[in-house]
Amino acid sequence: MCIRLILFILLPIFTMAIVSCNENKNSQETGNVVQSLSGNDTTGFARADAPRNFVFPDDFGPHPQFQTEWWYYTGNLSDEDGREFGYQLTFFRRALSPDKIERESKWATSQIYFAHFALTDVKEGEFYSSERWSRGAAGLAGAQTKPFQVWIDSWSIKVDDKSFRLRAQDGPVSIDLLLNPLKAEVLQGDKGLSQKSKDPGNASYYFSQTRIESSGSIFMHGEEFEVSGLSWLDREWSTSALGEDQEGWDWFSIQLDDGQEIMLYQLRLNGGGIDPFSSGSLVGVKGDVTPLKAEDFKIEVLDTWKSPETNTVYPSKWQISIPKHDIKLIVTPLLNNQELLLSFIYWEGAVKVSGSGFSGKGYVELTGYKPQN
Amino acid sequence: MNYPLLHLTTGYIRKHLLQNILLILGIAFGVALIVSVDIANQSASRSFVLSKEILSSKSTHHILGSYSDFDERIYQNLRLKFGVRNLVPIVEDYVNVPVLGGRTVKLLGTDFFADLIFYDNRQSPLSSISEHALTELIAMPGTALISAQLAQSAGIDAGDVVEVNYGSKTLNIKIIGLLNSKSDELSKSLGGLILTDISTAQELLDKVGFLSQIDLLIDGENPQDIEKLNLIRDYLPSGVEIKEKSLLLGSAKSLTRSFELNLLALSLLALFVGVFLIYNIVSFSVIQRRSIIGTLRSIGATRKQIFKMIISEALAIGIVGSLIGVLGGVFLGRGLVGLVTRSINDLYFTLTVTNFTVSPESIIKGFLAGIFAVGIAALVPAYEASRFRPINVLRRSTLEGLFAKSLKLLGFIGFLFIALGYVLIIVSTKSLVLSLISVFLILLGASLLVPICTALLMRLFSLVLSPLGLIGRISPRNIIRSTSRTAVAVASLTVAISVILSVSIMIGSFRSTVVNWLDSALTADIFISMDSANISSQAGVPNEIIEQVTSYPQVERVATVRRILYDSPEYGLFNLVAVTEDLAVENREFIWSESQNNIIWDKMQSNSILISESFAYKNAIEPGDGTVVTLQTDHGAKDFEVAGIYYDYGSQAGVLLISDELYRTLWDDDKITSLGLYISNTKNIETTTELLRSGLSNYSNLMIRSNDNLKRSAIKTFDRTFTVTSALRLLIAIVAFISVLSSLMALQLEREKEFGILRAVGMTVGQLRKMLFLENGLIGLASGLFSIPVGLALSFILVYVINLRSFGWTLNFTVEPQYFIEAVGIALAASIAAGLYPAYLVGKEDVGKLIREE
Repeated sequence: MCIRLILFILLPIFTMAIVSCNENKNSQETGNVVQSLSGNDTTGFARADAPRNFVFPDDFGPHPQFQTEWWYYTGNLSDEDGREFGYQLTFFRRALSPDKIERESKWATSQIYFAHFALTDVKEGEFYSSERWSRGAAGLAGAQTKPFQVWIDSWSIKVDDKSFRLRAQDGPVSIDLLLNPLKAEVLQGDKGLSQKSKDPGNASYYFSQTRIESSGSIFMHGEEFEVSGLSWLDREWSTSALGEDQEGWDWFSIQLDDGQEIMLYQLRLNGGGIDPFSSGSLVGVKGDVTPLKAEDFKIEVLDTWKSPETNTVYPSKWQISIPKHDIKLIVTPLLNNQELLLSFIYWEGAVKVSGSGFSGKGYVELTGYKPQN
Repeated sequence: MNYPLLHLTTGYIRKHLLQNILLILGIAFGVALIVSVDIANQSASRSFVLSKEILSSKSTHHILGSYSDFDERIYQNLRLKFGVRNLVPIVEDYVNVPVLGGRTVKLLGTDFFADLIFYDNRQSPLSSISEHALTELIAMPGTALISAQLAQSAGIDAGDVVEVNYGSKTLNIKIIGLLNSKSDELSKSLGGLILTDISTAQELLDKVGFLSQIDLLIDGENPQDIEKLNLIRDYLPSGVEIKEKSLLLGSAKSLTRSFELNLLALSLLALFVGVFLIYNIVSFSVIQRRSIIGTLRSIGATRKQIFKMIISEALAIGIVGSLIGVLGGVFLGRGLVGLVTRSINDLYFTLTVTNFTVSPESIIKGFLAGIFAVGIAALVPAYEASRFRPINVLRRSTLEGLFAKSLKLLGFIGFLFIALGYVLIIVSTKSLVLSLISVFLILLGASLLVPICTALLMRLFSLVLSPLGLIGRISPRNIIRSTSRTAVAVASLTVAISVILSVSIMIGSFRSTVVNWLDSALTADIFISMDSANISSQAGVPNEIIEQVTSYPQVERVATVRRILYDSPEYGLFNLVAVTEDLAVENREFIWSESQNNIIWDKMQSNSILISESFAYKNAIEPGDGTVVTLQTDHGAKDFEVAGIYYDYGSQAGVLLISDELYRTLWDDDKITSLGLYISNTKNIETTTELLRSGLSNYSNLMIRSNDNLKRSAIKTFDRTFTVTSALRLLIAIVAFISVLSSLMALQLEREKEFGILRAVGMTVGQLRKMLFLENGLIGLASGLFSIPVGLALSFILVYVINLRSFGWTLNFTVEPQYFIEAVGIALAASIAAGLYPAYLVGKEDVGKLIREE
């Protein structure tokens, strides 16, 4: 899902967070940031330029020889009474330099970690978002392979026996979830090599867990909710830059009630149009994967929503058609306002899916939309 | 005031321009002093805050070690175990920058990601830094940012490598970017800073594993935050404390408070002298116009109108004088800020930022003080003028007659004031402010006693001088005859001279005390320390130097000194000094000690300590057996028995002297601040010093000084500290000089008619001039003589009361004849100078014209 996000997000978040947190309440800067990203120095880092052998569970751990990396969890949950919640917990790693310099101080590092945590309370129409950032040193933040964990302060994803435990808390909201994957890892793109433009090496290693049984607790303002549902994980690492002509992206992860999952993303080009490197995948009930190319699917916007905070107009209802597989879906946000007002502002939220013979839930991410006036 | 009166009064001012210019000058000087001292004090305070609060102006609390850095794991535990988020770790120390002319700046390292919490809604200074530079700052060792301003003054560009001295190390720091800030405050703060990543600071300053400080943001209104605060308090180990920022600033500020208060008192003294001047001139202007005022009264002007006329006139002049004074004060303040900041750097703590702030309050304060002084001073003459009866005003003798009658009453009131001042000193056991007020009471009392003493002294002079003939007899009587004005001139001169005298005695006593103390306290032959231009640096002498110096055959033995600034909740800030042997053992002078000098050192090996006089004074520790001081050591709280209280003038914060052995077992500290070397043949001190210098030349910042050399530089520092006081003393002398010049000159100029008559009856110009100078000389002499007892009394108070209460130490009262010669000299010079212009006029004026009116 998140190549689009990460490419847009990592450097801006780093620079803007340090420079002035919450200063840029709108993403007008994006164009400039994209330019500065294009000139980003990637020499010395490993590149995703050929298919590789994925090893599990080791590949859940960090790959510091690559410049950027993320662990991206989203999910739709509900309690016994059917009260619906959506959550997002994402950790990012960014290397400032490919060199590992031996230094005395435990604070010394070239690894920076960021995390976003969001919670959607559908019943009350509330959306909470928060972020953390830290150097990957002095025990404050980091990632490790054995046993797998990634953390910033008290926010963490840890392997707990065969399950994964997710914990995050900010102000009045927190989550504590136990996740058990129901299907094997899905290698996206070409056996896990996800090409982002025609330049070799301008790609990422990308795998997903598309159906994860999830249960645990959500705390809100002192109230505890026992919840269960499905989560989705995207793991991706790369050393690559975004094309100059790309404006933003729309990304969809859909878990159908019939046991299939769909992942789609489309890169929007400056001045309209869709980048031919947009793609996706269809995961069958038994975990069989069918890659989807840009020409295999079509996404139509049926409605829009204007953010009262940033005046940004986001799409808020879609029709997705995948004619080859005879799929036609209507995707609607569970809540219009799922805009993350963080150092980098974007929309990412829980959606419901309906269609001829289809139903389900999912998550949609929208970036690169500019405020109007 | 109605128009004709206004017209009259402006006409009067125009006619007596010189007199009024002197009056304006006098007010202006008084106001200028007040404004400049206020600016200097406030700027110094601001410098302090700017130096301390560089990046964390939003923080509310600091976590600090009581004497040094603390374990970095405290930070990690607070964040990870206790979930406290608003925490910023800081590693810092002071370094010297040769390309900035050896200026001391702070090298500060922080975690920029944690620091973000303090920049929620405002521009961070890092916004001017390119992303590439930020990346390098965090990822690459030895990199730093400095402010664009600092870079410019040092001729540094981004990309340059700068040499910086820290302790015995020379650090090479690569400047990778320049900080700019839109906020004026922030850019001032940044001007004294080298900013690095926390890892870089740990490595450069040899503090790997340690933090200097943690800044916190605690919302005192939020119950969760308060709960966290208590959690933190409980968690912190012995020797590490969390402190409210405002209290922390306060406790450090209280050190300089006495210093600043003393400066303020000196500036008020100058205005006090100025008040006499104003009184003098305003009452003189009333007397000059007694016939006009009489005429006005007889044609129907009311008393109220006359009163208003005189007051308004004085206030108008006061406003002009105060305005000039305010401008002069700002100008003067600029110079004074430098002196005050330097003194604070020498005495208290390092200010990395020299700030010059002119606050509106300083201006308003000074201006109002000027107006108020004029109002008070003009009140009596204005009242007198309004009481003139038309029939009496033509006769001057009426006024003098009245004044002569009140001499005794004035003297009595003066006596009462002095008594009140004395009682106040006795009653106000520790208050500095009250003792300063009593200084003013005593001065005021003395000045009220001056008229009657002048009258008595002049009678004596007329007897003594009668052999000189007519002039010898006339002159003293002339003074008696016009006591109403001469007495004020004498009084103002007396006040000024006695202030100058007492300040001289105080500084002199202080200096000789310090010289004696240095002789007894510094017994080692050669001293080795770090060349730190700043008092706050924690850098010590490298431990391996001990071995190196003992290998020299000339060196008999080596003593080590560890000096740390300790902050304890019970005793505030003080110096904890650990020594391997008592360097002053035989010469140490005790206020009180429980046993003989040589036994004390043995006791200090087990459980006893010594405290300095100022430590005892500050904490109200009375001499006596069984007194106990409790300190938080690195191994828990520990009681120490006080074995003695000794004289010390090295630290106003106070010293607690402990044996090195005891110190090292209780505190986990192996650093050394300085070494004292005893050499076998004391004749070879200088040659051995040279030998050591060349032998240890690979340590770039080591200071190796002979005993003499160290004493000389200590005295130099002392003298530098008192530059401010001496400067103020000079300014007071200027105010006094103007005051006397203007009043005496006015006095003589008024006597034109009298001189005309004297000339007409046959007195030569030469005789007249002789008379004039003799009179002025007598006035000067009287002031000089009166100022001796008054000055002595004041100096007693300064030495034994003000100094004790300000700094907690007792000085030896030392008086030198030159102070008195100086005092009487200034008085005579001023009064004789005042006769020059009138004497010149005496020869020029036409006798006929002068007496035509009669």
